[in-house]
Amino acid sequence: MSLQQLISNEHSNMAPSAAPQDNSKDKVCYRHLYEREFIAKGEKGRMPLKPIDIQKDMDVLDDKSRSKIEHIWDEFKDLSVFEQRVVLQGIFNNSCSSLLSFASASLQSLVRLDFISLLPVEISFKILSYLDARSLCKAAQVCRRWRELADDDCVWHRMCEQHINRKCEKCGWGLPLMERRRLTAAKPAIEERFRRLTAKRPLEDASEAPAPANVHQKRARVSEGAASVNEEAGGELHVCNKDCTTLSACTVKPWKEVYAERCRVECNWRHGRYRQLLLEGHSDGIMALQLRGHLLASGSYDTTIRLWDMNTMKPIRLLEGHTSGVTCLQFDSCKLISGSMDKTIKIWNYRTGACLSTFTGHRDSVLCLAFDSTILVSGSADCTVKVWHFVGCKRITLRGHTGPVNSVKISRQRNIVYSCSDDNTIRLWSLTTNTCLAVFNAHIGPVQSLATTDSYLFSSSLDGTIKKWDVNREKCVETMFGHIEGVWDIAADRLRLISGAHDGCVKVWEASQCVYTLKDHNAPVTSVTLGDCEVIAGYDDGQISVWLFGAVPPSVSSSVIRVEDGH
Amino acid sequence: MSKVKLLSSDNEEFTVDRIVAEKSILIKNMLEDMGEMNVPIPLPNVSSNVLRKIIEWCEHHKNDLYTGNEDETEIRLKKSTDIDEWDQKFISVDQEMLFEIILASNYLDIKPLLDTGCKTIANMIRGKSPEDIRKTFNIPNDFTPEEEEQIRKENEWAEDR
Repeated sequence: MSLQQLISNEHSNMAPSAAPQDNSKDKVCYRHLYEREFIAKGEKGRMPLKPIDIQKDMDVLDDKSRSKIEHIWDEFKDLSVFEQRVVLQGIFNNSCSSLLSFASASLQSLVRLDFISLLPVEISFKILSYLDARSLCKAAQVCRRWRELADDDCVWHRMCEQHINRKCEKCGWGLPLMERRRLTAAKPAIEERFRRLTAKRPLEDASEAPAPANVHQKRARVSEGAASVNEEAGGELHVCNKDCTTLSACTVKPWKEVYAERCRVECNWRHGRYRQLLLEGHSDGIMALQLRGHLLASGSYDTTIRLWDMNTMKPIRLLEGHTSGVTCLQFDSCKLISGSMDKTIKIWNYRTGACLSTFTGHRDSVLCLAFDSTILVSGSADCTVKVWHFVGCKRITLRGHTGPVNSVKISRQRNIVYSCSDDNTIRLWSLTTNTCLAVFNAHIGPVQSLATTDSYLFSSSLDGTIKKWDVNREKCVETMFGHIEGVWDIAADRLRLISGAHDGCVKVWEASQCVYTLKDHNAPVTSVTLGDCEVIAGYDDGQISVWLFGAVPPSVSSSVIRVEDGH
Repeated sequence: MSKVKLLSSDNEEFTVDRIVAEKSILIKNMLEDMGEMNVPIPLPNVSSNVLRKIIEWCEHHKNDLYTGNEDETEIRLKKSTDIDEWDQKFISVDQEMLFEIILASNYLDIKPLLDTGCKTIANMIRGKSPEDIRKTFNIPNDFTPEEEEQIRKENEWAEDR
């Protein structure tokens, strides 16, 4: 028999139609069931039901009246439920109106039930799962039992799933990405936790089973300084990967805290609250930027590539080898690939600084590149796009553009490549047939940069606009105005888009609306990149601006960077 | 149309269309396992006044398509305030009856009704201050003032948006 069966059985005696022969006076309703439960456990102070405070009234009475009243109560308690009903009816019959209104007023709060504490845990979780973050936080402040449930990992893991790195369709809120795989990795543990908390307990001893106290979270609260985890909670540790940058993220952190942290970052984004830093090191204009985890790579006209540690804000590696300006780069966990005006593409082991190989083939400057696990795509001032297959060493040239190719993007989902060019067009190329599938004509100036999200393609142009494309319908669905000069670069994630323009402005866009403009200095912005908590812009004068929307990394040294407060 | 007899915990017998009774997955499975039954199905966990209410709901929703394998996230994405008008009226009962309906729909496995009950309670919580929530459900505040202040601080982040 389950908890709810027990409750149902126990209180069914209270139903109006309870038969007179059902003489089970030791059975109690859920009101008294829990009371009894708590008394049995010696936890009287934590009774979930609010008794009427009658002590004050009793104190004013003399001993004789008191014992008379107590006698009536005791007699009443000994009656069966049906008899109690009859007694109550008789009392009502003998009561004058003022007593009846007194009864009615008292009953108003007495008939209220603490659903969250009384219902089976799985139903309480279900109710809580319909609430937004704010209401959940209010619920956690109601009482101890509510706090246990409303703060539970089962509830907040779902909240995280719903909001992190995606816009929640219910509330329109999205939270910046943390490692999504951590979220997925924790799922089985959370499901196990849910099963454990909601497990139907066997019911040999009726007085033992339904106490909510039995399903206490075993995990020590963080507020109590819980760094250690007991055996039982071990299963719900969300251990993250070894390349996890912050140690604190590797220890137990309740999902509510994860959510709260991401929520704070999102609020900083929304309100434009940031700290700004400047990275100085390159001696000529920045042409390319990429942020991955805590590593930032920058490529410059000064022919070098620099790697920066975003935790310390210090340069950690210098890659030298190109003989002309570095125009584009991309890196993953083991290699960095760069393209240069020296017409070559180089592959680097950026951890050691060694150049592993050099590709030649383009007849003019390499202006852009993109790679995934099997192919590298490059675009060049020679108007071609080349697809380099890592397997089989095949190289295919895609011809069609009539001007330098400024940006390329790979879409593995659709098995296509997007490219854009000084010829004002965007082209779609099939990786299966190596042919041009479509040409997008809408910009009236050279198209400089492309960005892709799950469902859309964005393009920026020297005509000063950013366009949003529905690739399936091959249609421009939106044009974003705002920059007064050409837009050199854009970057997008699932929540927002940023753009950098010749006018020196970096704009942050949400849902195609410019939410604010970040302006650091007057030099043209030549490159931008977007992180979960940061906007990074590279300038024509060789400086890199970093706007941090999360917490400022603790070990920032001002000798390399100039720290300024945001406005 | 074939009829099904249901017996409440207090031995009241209800005769309903099979299609109505089958809104309860528990009864549906029972009927599928046992075939036609002439004896009434005992429901020892549901009293007659609750069962009457539940049958009223099942009658009204007997032609609804049951989407048994609806994705859980799908359910969540639906606005939780979305309770259709008839259901809203149906569920406007005192708290004890609401409690009973939720328990019974959970036991009888009538998911849409359970959802409606849970949403109704969620709506009673949403947007309220902790004190208002306590009043709504008659809950004693068992925090010390110090604890209360500390927990308020802990949850402050949710206010800033």
